[in-house]
Parts: sequence; C-alpha cells; structure tokens
Amino acid sequence: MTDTPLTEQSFYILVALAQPLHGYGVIKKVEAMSNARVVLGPGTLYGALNALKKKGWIQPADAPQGDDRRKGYVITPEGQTVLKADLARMEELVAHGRAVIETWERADAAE
Amino acid sequence: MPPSDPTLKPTGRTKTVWKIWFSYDERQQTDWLTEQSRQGWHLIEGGLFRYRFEKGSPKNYLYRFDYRWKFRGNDQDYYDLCKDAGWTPIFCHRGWHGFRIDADVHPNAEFFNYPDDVAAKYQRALRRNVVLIVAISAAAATGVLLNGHLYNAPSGLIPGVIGGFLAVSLASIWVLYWRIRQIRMSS
Repeated sequence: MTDTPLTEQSFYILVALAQPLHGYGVIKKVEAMSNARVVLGPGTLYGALNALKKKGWIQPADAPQGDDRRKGYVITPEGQTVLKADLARMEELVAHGRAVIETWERADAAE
Repeated sequence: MPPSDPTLKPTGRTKTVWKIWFSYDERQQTDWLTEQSRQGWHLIEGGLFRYRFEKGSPKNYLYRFDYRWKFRGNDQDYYDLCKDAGWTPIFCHRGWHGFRIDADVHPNAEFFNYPDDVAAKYQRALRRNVVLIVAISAAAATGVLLNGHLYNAPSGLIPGVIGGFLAVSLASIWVLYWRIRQIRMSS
C-alpha cells in the first residue's frame, strides 16, 4: 500500500477535517492540536488539500464558520479508512517502541 | 492586481530595478527583496525582470514566491487562504506569485513547510519552461522552413539570437533540474 505512511501534514489535515473547515480553519486547528509545533504554510496546505481531494480522501463541504465564499472541506469515508489504517500502523510502532523502552527501564532499575 | 499593503503610508518615492533571474535562484530574489525592505524599499510591483519599490519605513518582511500557472478551480481560494494566513499578495506574473509577511508579527511563518513542497514548485516551473521552449523552438523551426532567406542574413544575427536564447534556456532548465534532484535527495 503506497498511500501510507501518511506524511505528518496529511495525517493532521485528515484529523482536522473530521468536521468541515475552510483552509485557514485547518491551519488553526492543526496548530492547536500540535501546540504550535506544526504551523502549516498556505503553499503547503493548498498543495496538500488538492492532493487529498484528488485521492478522494476529502471532499468540498460548507464550512460552518459562516464565511460565505471560503471553500471548506470534510473527510470522506475513504479518507477515514486510510486514517484508521495509518493509525493502526503507528500503534504497532508505539507498542514495540514502548515495550523495548520498558525493558531498558526495568534493567536500569534492577542495577 | 492586488493593491500594495494598505498599512504602508505612501511616500510617493518609488524606484524601478531591472534584474535578470531564473527559476532556480528565486530564493536569492526573495532574500534580496527582504534586504530591500530592511532599507525601507518595499516591493509594490513585479514583472518580467523588473521590480518596482516604494520608499517607506524599514520593515522586517519575509518574501516568498510560488509558481502556479493554472489553478484547479478558482484562484480566489488560493488567495483567500494566503491572505487569511497573513501573507500579502504583491504580484502575479507569468505564473510566479509574490507574497510577503511581516516577520515581526508572524515570527515563525513559512509559506512552504517541507523541502518537498519547494521541489514540487520547481517541478511545476520546470514543466512549464520545457513546454514554452519547445513551443518557441517549433515556431523558430517553422520560421526557418517558411522564410529560409531571413536566416541567410550575412550578419547571422537572427540565428545567433535564436541560438543564444536556446542555449540560455536549456542551461537554466538543466540547473533547475539539478536543483530539484538536490532537494529531493537531501529530504
């Protein structure tokens, strides 16, 4: 499967688009979720939104911010499937990483 | 064309600078524009190798260029997104879109977050340049076939100009291609 692993920005954009948002709404939401570690530039976001739309993982939607002509997007069922698959992949990574760190910690404690 | 930044008080003093540049050194252009703004010269217009500035108080502006020849859908969405994120559009010319942001107000702002996005921008410019040069070469070749005598001018001026244009174009495309490879391999 070449669609995963998702890039960090794609993953965060898909999570942000669980609710319909327009472009700037996505920037603000990703910034808030990552404690300002990921502040998407407009050039990066515009390209990523187009790519995700082309793959059918997001679709146009009315953004709820009341802003008239600003175009909004929302995740599609296909996007949800990809997000779940990538999350399962990351859970596997986290589980193995955590397990090995715990063995090191136990070894350190035993010394 | 978007108007110049309304927060700047117009002083009426302007200057025009001609500067030849190629896609691969656009970053040197934006760095130079930042330097100009630190000296109080703020970009108000960009054209074919031509920049126009207006004198104001020195500012810490970060400039960035994007290359988009055509938009999937409405380019208004693109401009809305850039403006919402704090980037002021200054010019758009032959596919190049120039923006700036006040780095004192938005200290960590970047237009592109990842090297791959910059490589994709150069890729768009490269593709367009190749199409243009093929078209111009085809037009020149047709010219040779239809008006062969023009090219027999004793001075050799016309073939010289066309040859020179092609040589410079191909060299710039080659450098741009290597720039893209370099970015992709190091990211």
